[in-house]
Amino acid sequence: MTLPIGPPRVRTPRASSEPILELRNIDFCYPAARRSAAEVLGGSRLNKINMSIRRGKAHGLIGESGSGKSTIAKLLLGLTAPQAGQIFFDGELLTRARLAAFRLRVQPVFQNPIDALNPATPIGKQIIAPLLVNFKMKSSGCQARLAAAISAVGLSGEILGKLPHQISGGQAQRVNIARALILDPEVLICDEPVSALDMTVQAQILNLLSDLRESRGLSLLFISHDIRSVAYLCSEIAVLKRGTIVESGSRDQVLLDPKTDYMKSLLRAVPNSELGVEMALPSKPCSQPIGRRHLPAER
Amino acid sequence: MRRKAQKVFASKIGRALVTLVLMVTSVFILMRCAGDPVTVLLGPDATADMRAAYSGELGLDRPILVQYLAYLHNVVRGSLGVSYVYRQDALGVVLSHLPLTLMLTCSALTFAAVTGIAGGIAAAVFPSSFIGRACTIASLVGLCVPSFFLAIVLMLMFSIQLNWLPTGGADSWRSLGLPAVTMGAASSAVLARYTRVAVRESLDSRYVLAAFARGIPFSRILIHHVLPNAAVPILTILGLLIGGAVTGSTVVETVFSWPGIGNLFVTSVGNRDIPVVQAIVLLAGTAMIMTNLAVDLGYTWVDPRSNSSET
Amino acid sequence: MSTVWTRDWTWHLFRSPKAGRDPRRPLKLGLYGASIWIIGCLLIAALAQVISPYHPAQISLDARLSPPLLFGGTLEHLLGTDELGRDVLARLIYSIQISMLVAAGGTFISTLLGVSLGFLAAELGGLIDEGVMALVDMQAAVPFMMTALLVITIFGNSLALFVCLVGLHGWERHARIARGLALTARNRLHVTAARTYNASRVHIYARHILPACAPTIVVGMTLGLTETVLLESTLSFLGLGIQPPMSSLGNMVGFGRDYLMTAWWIALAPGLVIAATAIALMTISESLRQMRPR
Repeated sequence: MTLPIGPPRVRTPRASSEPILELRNIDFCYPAARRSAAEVLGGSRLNKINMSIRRGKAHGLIGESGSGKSTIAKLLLGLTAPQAGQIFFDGELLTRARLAAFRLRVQPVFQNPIDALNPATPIGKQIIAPLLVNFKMKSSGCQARLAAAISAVGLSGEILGKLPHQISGGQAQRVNIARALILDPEVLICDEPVSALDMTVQAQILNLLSDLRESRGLSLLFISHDIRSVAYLCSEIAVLKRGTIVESGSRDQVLLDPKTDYMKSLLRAVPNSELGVEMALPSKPCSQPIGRRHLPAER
Repeated sequence: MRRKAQKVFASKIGRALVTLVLMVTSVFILMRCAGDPVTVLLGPDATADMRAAYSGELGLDRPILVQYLAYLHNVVRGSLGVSYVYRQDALGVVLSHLPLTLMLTCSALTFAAVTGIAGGIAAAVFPSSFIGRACTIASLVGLCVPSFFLAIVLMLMFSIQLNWLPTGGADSWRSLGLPAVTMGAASSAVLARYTRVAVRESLDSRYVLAAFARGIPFSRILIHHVLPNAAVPILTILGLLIGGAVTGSTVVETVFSWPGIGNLFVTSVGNRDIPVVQAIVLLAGTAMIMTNLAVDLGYTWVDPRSNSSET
Repeated sequence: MSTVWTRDWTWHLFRSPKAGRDPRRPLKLGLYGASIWIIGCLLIAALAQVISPYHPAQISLDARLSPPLLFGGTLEHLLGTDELGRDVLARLIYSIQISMLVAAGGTFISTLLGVSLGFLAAELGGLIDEGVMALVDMQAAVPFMMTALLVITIFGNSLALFVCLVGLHGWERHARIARGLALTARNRLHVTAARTYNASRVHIYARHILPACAPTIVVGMTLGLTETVLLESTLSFLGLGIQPPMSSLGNMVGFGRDYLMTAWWIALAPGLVIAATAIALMTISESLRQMRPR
């Protein structure tokens, strides 16, 4: 494994038709003590999931609690294996042998920022932990990359000596993103990264993710139950209902022209938003209405 | 629901049996490490005929698994070898010492139950008073002071200096006094602690507060509301203490020269009388496992909530 | 006795928030006293060779059975002498050293063994988990004294064997607790996060799980130390532990028992030290337990 040296390279998005990460015909079921219970609950299964993430794009995955969103995140991070179907990364089938290399290029951002950090270790050490584990470097050799990662997420050096319980949720999430970035990955899997944060902080983190995607050519999978944040950040959206993808397509397709009743009811449930306004005017073309802010999803 | 309770019962009994078999197996392994089984079990001066007969019984010319089964068979039958010192069947020797130990254990536990529970209740009901504090400190001391030291101190005070009670032997009822108190002290401390916590919890609960508010006299509250809830953990501990009686008696019987199983145990270890030691270990181990099982099952029966979670 | 303590301690472990309503002030005072005593014992153990007034085996038949200072004795022998004229204070100091060494060594071995097996059972699961738990059950069910004495009967009691035996005492409690803590800690989010950057199992256990378990394990160690001190002194008292010429605290009480009527100080001094040490250790472990972090 070669360690990329120097500042993180800017990847120009290649032909966007090749997906970088792909799920084909995935079936999954948690081993329940009694099969009948699992079937009745229904929530812990995935049926025939087909999904792909294209390079340099932000994909959104919307679903309610229990629909299987986190399961998809676990599958995409290689934390668990599907009962049927394949996962393709960069055109190659993901096998156990390739898992280690895969993990260097696909990194997570989890929902609970403070829980995702080791309560007993200072922040600086935790951010460089992936480097120490994978490349057997000494901590002194990682300082340059540490500084780069910290500045990329907008934190200052004084946070490095603190412990996780001494920082706020927003800072903790930035630390998690910094740790994810330190391996210079190509894909970030974000499992409800802003759900546990305050409203203002949510906007900051969303903007940060968007900036990182642009500057580094990262592909993002943004999983959430909140349509507004997905709509803000993502250019492609898939909708998950009880283990099946019921709708998928580009942002405009899904939001302005939903095909399923489920999606329509989800959109109606969003209070007082621009989405509602757009719904009310179906005949307008999908390009920018006058005076609206330029959303990250549309860049 | 009933089926679930039955399942829990069955699994606990199963686990106890597994533990029992494991214990007997470890004793078997240890015994085999001691040397030639015939010499070990019969002693150095057994006659040739006895040796031949015993070898046949133990199945020494057959594979180890068969020998293990033969050993199990012998254990169940009670044929555990011949004591070197007493020249009698080892189990018989042990059982002949049993009544004295039982007498000692029963008096010790009675003493422990009375003082422990009373002390615990006192400490819970009057936590800041002198009695309460004294009981708390006494229970800490009772837990930590080794029984041999307590035995010596009591012997010093009551036998030697004050000459009220005899120093040893099992001649009269008076000689039961010091050993029983010594042995009961540690158990009393544990009981006092549990009782204090359980009664405290009961006293802090809402329905007791409500009963207070309704003007029910405190003694009635204590007897009808607090004690029944505190009873379950107390009974648990009592059960465990009964099971641990043999170990507890080892030191006390030695110090006071009380000729029970504990005394026999120590002298046999000193004499390297392996058959007797083996017999005591098996007997005490079985008693302990069975008592634990009984307490466990009783707990399941009394408190159905403990059925649902399995550690 | 040890099984009773096991249940006692683990029960309190999981119930401490409510149970800690005892008046705190006596506890603080007791804690300071206990710490001072333990530190004193450790210092004595470390410096025994330097501070002891006499060599413990130094016989002086003129001064046999002389009483301690405040009971008619002389300044030369502050705690009196024993039946061979050996200074009791000197023997006490050396006994503290040996007892502390054996107790500390035994506790360390038992904690190491127990925590390793507990972690192994938690991580590997399945048959190994069942096997370890069956061993734990067996060890917990049978009183340790029984098996220890059986082993001593068969194998004799050399010092090495004795330390191993003492080291085997109480491992099942550490194993059970370590396993429970590891099972919980494994599901924490930071452990999952560590797996996503290829952290090895060893790294996860060393850096993530062990620090989470450490406070509880340390409390367990102090309790284990108490039990080990008592076990060692009991076995030595019965003549089945530390053998002469080495003297341990239990040893001294055992030999002093024969002279209880005439020279009670020989047995009383080491006995008081054992009792005080056990009380101190127990107090420390109680207050550590009540000080659960965050």
